[in-house]
Amino acid sequence: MGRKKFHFCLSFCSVFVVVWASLVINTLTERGPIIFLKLAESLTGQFDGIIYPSGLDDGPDIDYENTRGLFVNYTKVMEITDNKYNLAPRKTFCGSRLGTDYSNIRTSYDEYYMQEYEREFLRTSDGQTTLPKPENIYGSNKDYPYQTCVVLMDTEREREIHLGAKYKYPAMTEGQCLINKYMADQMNVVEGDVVYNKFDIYQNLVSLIDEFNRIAFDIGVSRISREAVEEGNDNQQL
Amino acid sequence: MAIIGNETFGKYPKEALEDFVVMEYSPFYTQLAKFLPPGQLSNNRAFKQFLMEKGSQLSYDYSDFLMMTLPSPRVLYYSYNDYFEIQRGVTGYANQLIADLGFFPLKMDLDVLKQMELFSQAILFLGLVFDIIILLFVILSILLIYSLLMISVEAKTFEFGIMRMVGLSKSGIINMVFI
Repeated sequence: MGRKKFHFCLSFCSVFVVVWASLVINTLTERGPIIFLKLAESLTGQFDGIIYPSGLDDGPDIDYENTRGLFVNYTKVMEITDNKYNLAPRKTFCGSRLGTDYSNIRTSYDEYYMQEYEREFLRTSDGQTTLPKPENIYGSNKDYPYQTCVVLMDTEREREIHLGAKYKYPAMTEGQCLINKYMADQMNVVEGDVVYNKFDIYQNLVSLIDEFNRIAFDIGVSRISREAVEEGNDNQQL
Repeated sequence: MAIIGNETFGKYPKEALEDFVVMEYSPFYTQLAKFLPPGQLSNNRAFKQFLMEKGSQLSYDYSDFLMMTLPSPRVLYYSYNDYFEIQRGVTGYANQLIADLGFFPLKMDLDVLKQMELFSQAILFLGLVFDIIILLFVILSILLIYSLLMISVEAKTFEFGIMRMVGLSKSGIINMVFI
């Protein structure tokens, strides 16, 4: 009797293990491409394609910087395609510099300077937002020690097309930006602190001037020369 | 300013995590109007007004590039073991889009597909290894069933031997087996 039981258990366990292992391997084989897809997404991002102007022969990657003045008209693209494709616009300013100032002092030793800064900040802020006045940004000698890529993204549109499906933050308002924890630790800043970005926006400004000049005559104002913008790095600070 | 953790949420490549600062798309030119560099532009009230009013729309008219995702559920496009099936699905969709937009003005990079091409060898290899493992399991199962049958046959042979020894005839054993 005991021997029969032993044989039954042995055969049952053996068959169970073999069937279970076969099912696991079968599932892994079926899901293999999905596992590799997740791996690929972690390397490239959760988007399937990047559309860019043909003039960029070497092609862009995600940190493509628009230094040739070639743009894609997202509005026109959506119009032509009747909104049937999952597309979202992006802008990137690589080689930007990021810095901060006294607003991020945290030690009690520097409390006096913090209060000094707050008084100065209240005096110089634009009164509508918590952002400083432009003259206080351009007029001061701030340090911009960190090199970054500033990426502009349409949060709601990207949520619609499932680009970064796990992204939980709401759309940012004017003057807000997201930085990663590593950068925040390096600069000793916390949520709500002020950071400054300095970047080259020459091509964008030239395009805006051209756009303005198209309607300047109609609205009765004089045109602006392209030379009003200096070409080169760091001509824009936010 | 807000802080996100050490995650990209699939918005951009992992390697760029430490470099990227993210800002919202539509208010950018409006904010730009308020912080124009000192000089002719910042002194031009009409230009600033123009940016304040039309900045949001203009930012969409002057995109650097467009990000594309496949129709939901996009995982289906990548669910094949054969890379060429994946390629057929993804490039078919991308070609349709480029055909609608015009081949001359725009180009498209399919980065995930490029990565999948690199991984396709691994997918094939993994499939092969798993097939071999399944084959081993099949052989093991056959051996197991053979072994159980042999144990059963040997036990019965012993029992029939005992029965013959105590006087059962050959026809009696055959009758016992069939009835």
